[in-house]
Amino acid sequence: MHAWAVQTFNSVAFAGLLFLLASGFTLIFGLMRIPNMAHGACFMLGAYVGYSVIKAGLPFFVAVAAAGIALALLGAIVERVVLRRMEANEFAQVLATMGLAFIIADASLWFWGGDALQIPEPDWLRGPVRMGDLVVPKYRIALIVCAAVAAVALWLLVDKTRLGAMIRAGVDNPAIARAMGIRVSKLSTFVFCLGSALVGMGGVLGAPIISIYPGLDFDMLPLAFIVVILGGIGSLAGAFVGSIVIGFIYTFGQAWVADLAYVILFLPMALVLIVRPQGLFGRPAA
Amino acid sequence: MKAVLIGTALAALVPTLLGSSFHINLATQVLIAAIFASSYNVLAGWGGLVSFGHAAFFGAAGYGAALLVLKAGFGHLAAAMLGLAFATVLACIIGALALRATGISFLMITLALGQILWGLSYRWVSLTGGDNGLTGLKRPALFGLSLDGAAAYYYFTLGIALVAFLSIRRFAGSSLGASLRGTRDQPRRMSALGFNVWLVRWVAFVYAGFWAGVAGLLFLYYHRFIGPHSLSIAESAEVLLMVILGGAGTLTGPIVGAAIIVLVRNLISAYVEHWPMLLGVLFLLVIMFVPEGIVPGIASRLRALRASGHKAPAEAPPHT
Amino acid sequence: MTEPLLSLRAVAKAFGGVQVVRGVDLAVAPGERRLILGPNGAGKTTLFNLITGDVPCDAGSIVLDRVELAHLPTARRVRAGLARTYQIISLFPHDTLRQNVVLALLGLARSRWNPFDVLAARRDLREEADRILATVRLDGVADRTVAHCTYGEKRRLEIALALAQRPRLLLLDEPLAGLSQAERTDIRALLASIPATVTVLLIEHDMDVALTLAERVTVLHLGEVIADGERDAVIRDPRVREVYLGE
Repeated sequence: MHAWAVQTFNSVAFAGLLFLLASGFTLIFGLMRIPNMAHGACFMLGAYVGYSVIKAGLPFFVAVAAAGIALALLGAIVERVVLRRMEANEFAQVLATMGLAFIIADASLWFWGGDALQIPEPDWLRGPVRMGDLVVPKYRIALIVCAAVAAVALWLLVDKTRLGAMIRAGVDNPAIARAMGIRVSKLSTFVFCLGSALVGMGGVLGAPIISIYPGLDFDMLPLAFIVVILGGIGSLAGAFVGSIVIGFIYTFGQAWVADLAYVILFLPMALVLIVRPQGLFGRPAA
Repeated sequence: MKAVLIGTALAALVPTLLGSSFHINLATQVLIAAIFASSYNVLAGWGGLVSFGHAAFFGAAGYGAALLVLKAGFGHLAAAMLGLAFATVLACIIGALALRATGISFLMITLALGQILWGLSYRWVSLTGGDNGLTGLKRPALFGLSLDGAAAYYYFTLGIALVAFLSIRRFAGSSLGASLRGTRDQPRRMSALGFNVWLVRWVAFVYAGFWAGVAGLLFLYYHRFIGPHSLSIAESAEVLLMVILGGAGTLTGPIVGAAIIVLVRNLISAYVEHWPMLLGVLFLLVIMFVPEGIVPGIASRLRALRASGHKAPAEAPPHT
Repeated sequence: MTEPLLSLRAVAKAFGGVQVVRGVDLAVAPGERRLILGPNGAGKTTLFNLITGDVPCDAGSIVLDRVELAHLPTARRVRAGLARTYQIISLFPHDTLRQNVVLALLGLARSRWNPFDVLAARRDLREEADRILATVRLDGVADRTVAHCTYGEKRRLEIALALAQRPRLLLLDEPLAGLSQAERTDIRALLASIPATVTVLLIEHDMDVALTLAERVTVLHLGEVIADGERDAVIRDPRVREVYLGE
C-alpha cells in the first residue's frame, strides 16, 4: 500500500514537470501550427543556465527566474530572426527548430561539458515531510505546487484575458483571427517566448529530480509530444490531463515493466494519432 | 548516362587515389549514407512525406541480420536477406499506420513508432544488448574474396550503391515515380484523375524502407556492430538533414548532402571541435536562404548566370 | 425520359450546423448539357464535390449508369466514368503542359504502377497528350511549364485534363471564371465541340455563354432545387427571377 502511495505521489510530481514541458509546447503548436523540435533542448538549456546561476552562489528560485528570462529572450530572437522569415512555410519552420535543437545541444556540450550535473534542492525544501502515514520529499511537493501555480496562471491568461482570447482565436482559425485585426505574428512571438520561458523554468525545477546531461533534450522532447498528442494540440486542459496520464504511466511503468517503459509510453500516442489524429481534446486538424 | 559513367569511373578509382585505409573507409561511409539519404529522398523529396522515423528501417535490417547471425547461427546471406525482409515488412506495417495521416500528424506518428522501436532496442537488453548493441560480427567472404580490407569492402559497397542509385533513378523516371510526385503536388487532383493516392504513397514508403534497410545492412557489416543509435531520432534527423541540405527531390542532392555531413563529421571534427553546431548553423542557413537545397540552389544560380540578360527559360527544368 | 446517366436522390450535406445541400434530386440524361445555376452559397460546388466524392454525403444516393457512387472513394468514381475541373485551378505547377496531360492519361492506365518504365520515352502517351492539347489549342506551348502559363491557358489545361480521362460525365466548375471576353469566346467554342457521347454538367455564372450551351437548367438556392427543366422555361420562372436574377 505504501509503495502505491509513494508511486502515486511521484507520478503527480512528474506530471507537474510534464505540464511545464507540455503546456508551452501545446500553445506553440496550437498557435503556430508547428511542433517545436527545440523544446527539449530549451528544457535542457534552462537547466544548465540554472546550474550556472546556482554555482554563482545565487538562490534556487533566482535561478528558476533567470532560466525563464534567458529562454524567453532566446525564444524572442529565434522567433523574430529565424521563424518569422518562413511564416507561410510550416515545414521549413519545423526543420529550422530542429537545426536549432542541434545547435543548442552542441553549444551546451561546449559550455557545460559532457558530465552529468546535479542541482541540489534549496535548503529549505530539502528532506521529507510526514503526511499521515506517508513520508514524501518536500521538494516534490514544491514542484507540484509550482506546476499548479503555472497551470492556474496559464488558465487565467488564456481563459480570462483579452490576450488569451486572441490566442484562442489564433489557435482556432488564424485566417479569421487576422481578418479580425488580431496580429497573429506578434502573438506568435509572445507565445513562443512564453512557451520557452515555461520550459526553461521547468528545466531548473526538474533538475533536482532528473539531473542534467547531454541527451536530456531528446529524452524530454518525445514526452512533450506524447502529452500533447494525447491531450490535443493547442489545448491547455488537454496538456493538463495528458501530463497526469503520462506522469502515471511513466512512473508506474518504470517501476513495473522497466524494459517496456518506452513501448507503453509511445503506444498510446501512436494509437491516438492513428485513430484520432487531433488528440483527445483537440479540434479536428487542419 | 555520360554523367553516370564518369561518376562510376571516378568512384572506382577512389581507393587508388586515396591510398590510406582511413580515407577509403570514409568513402565507404559516404556511400552508405548516400544510399540511406537517397532512400529517404524517395519518401520526403518525391513523395512529400517528411518522416521522422526513417532510421527504423535502417536499424531494423541491421539488428535483424545481426541477431540471426550472432544468436541463431544463420549464414550471412540468409541473415542479410531475412534482415532486409524484416525491415521491408516493418515498412509495410508502419507505412499503413502512419499514412492514415499526412503532414505534421504523419511526421509525429513516424516519430512515435520509430521511438517504440528504439525503446525496444535500448531496453530489451537480453535480446539486443541494450546500449552496448550487438558486436562480434565478422564480414563474410564474397565468392572466396575477403571483405575485411578497406578497399575490398569499398568496392562491395560501391557495387550495391550503383544498383541502388540506378534503381532509384529508374523509379523516379517511371510512371510510378511520376504518380508519386503528382500525389505530392496535388493529392486531390490525383484522386480526381483516378489514382489511389494512399496506395501510391504506401508503395513509395515500403520502397524507401527497403533501400534504407539495404543501407543498414551495409552499415552493419562495415562497423561489424549495431546499436540503438542507428534507430534513434538523431539518426532520422540526420538523414533528413542530408536530403534537405543537398536538395530534396533531386537525384544527386541526397548524395551531396550525405557526403557533406559524413565528411564534416569525420574530417572537420579533427579541426573544429563543435562540428554539430556547425552543421546545425549550416542547416539553418540553408533553410533560411537556400530552402530548395544546395544542388538545386547552385544549379539555379548557374542557370541565372548563364541566362543573365535573357528571359527566364520557358521549358521545365529536367526532372533530375 | 430515357434512363438517366446520372441520378441523385435526396442528397444532403451539412457542415458543422449548416445544411449546405438539402434533399437534392437530379436526373441527367445521357448526352445532355445541364447547367447548374444559383447565387453564391447555393451549394453548387458542394454538390459537385458530393458527386465526385471530394466530400462524403450525409444522406442520399448518387447513381451513375446504374452504379451507386455514394460510398465509393473518388478514384473509383472516376473509374466509373466521371471527370471534373476545379473552380480553383489545381494543376501540377512544376510540370510542362504535356506532362500534366500525360499524368491525366496515366490515371486510368494500368501502367501507372510501373516502377521500371521510362515515362519520358512513352511515345504513345506523348502523342495522345499532344492530340488532346491540340483540341484545346495548347499544342504550341506543350513544353511550357504550367507556372509560366497565362490564366487562360491554365483554364484550358484544366479542361484538357478532364477530357484526357475520356469521361462519360464531365463536371465543369466555373470554367470561364476570371477570363477575358476573347478567352470566353474561345472556351465557349471548345465546350460546344465536346462530343455528344460526353454528358456535361456545368456550373457557370456567365449567363451569355452558359445559356447558349445548356439544354436544361437546374437552379439551386440555399441548398435546394427551386427550378429544374428546359432552359427557356426555367429562366422565365418567377421564383428563379426573384432569387437569382433579382427582379
